[in-house]
Amino acid sequence: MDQFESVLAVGALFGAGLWFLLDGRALRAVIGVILLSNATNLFLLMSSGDPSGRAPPILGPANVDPVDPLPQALILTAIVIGFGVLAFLVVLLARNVEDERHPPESSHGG
Amino acid sequence: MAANILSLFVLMPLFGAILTMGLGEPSRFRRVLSLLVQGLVVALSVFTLREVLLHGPIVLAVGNWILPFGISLTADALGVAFVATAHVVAFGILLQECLVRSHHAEPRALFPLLHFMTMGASLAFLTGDFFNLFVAFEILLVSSYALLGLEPAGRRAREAFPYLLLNIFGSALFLVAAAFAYSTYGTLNFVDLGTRISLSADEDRKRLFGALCLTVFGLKAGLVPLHFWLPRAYPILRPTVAALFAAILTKVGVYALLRIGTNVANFETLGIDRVLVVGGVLTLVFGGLGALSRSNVRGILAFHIVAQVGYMLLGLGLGGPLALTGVVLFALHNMIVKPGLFLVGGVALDAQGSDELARSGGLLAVAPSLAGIFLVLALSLSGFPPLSGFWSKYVLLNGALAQGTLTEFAFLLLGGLLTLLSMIKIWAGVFWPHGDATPELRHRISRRTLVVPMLLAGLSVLLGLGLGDFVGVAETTVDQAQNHDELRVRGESVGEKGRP
Repeated sequence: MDQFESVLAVGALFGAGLWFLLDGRALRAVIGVILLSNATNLFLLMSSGDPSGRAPPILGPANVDPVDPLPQALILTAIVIGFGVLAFLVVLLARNVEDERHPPESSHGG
Repeated sequence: MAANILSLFVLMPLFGAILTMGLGEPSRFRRVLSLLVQGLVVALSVFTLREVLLHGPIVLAVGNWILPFGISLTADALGVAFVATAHVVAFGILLQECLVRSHHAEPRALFPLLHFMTMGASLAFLTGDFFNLFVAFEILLVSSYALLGLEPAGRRAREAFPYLLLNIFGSALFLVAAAFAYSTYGTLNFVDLGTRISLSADEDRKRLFGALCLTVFGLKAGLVPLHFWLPRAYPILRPTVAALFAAILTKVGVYALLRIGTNVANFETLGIDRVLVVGGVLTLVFGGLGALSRSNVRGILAFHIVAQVGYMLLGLGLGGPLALTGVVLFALHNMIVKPGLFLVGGVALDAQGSDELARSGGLLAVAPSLAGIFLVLALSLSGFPPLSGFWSKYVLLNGALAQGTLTEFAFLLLGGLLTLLSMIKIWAGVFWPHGDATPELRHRISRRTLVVPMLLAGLSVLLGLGLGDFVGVAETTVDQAQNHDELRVRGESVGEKGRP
């Protein structure tokens, strides 16, 4: 039942992520996004309950109760999406720097 | 009817995206392909809507996994009405992009991204699973990030970053809500989750879950004070993309609030519906005033989206079948009229080279038909009979009266006044002559760029006149969403699943 260490870790990661996100500088925001997505992934992992005394989902011994595997499947999805968004954010930043060096023609007056 | 038809709503836009990406050259080929695929999706969604209205909801257990363990696509009237409207409008927007052959060639990624966005919308409106809803939102959001990044201005940190970071934070909260739901109730299926939440005695956890959902979807919908990403992002988009954003992005948030707030974690029984009422009133007033403060067409329209969302949230907070019907009518009507206005604004912008009100004017003399289309759409938005906006406002106001809440009634009327004022501001700025000078246009307004706005305006008129029993359909959607026995039976037949 007690997952106190995980709670602390999630809290710390979430707090640090938010801190960086609110900093206003673009690169720090990227770090914030990384921390934030790790915090949520860890929180998702916690939803399978306390793993102590339980077997891994697939390969564990037959007579021991396995850990609920669904959150791990969810995390896999969340990691893929989070990584995709992170990659996009980094590319956007790179383009941003490039645009500042060679300003593009402004489009349709907006 | 085979329930597998529902998977086509996701697969066909996906194929559209892949085909337009792979067989994308020359651009004429890409355009034909794109319209063909979207046309098929429209036909499919109209057919499904009819089927669902006549015979009740369709449920597809994806991969034949037993519900509630597998992922389900559930098409009740509510979801399909949103899907159908979104795809019809998206077809119009794609057509407009093809017809406006302006001097900027479209970026190659534009059509694939638009298809990806409609794919995300389909999935969001049809899914019956909380985590799957997260995935749908991400598909939508990532395509919207990429569409924003297509514009040079959209890559500038000042405009793009508030939108990106706020939505990334929203996604993180969404995951937290999903994890919380799973660890507390042991399920992610909407129906199952709803049953377990109503059976659970732990009020605090219920309320926490409700509050998390309210924050996440309020942020997506543009609830004040979580709205500030919205008015900054729209004015830098090309008008067609802004139109699609207006049709889909905030409405998905409203839909999720409607779905979660009535079926899964009933906001009213949790006692957090007052938050929606107060938030709705704030959104209504703040959005309305914000729209009046803007000085360009896209800025006014974008801020005005916030005001319209205020109506819907207020209706959601009021609750009761009448107000909820009003919310559905309002959302569907907005998904048609708002994009229409963005497209009209786009045509004017294209002809004048700017959509700053100070630098335009007098289009009434040069392009009376454009002015006419704007007038119909603007009056519909302000709620004049017999247009579609009238019915949505009429039902919503009646819903407020039925709850006996006169303050909210007054705010709804005030919102209507603010809408009318901001429409007058655009009319005076863009169409009414400034002095005697005839405006100089960069080029003549071609008649074919008016086709799609005219169709959208026509749709608003016809819906207002009772085409397809607009109000009746909305009543059915709320009815099916609230008493969906078909969905429930399948969810409960599996029996109680204990926590592992």
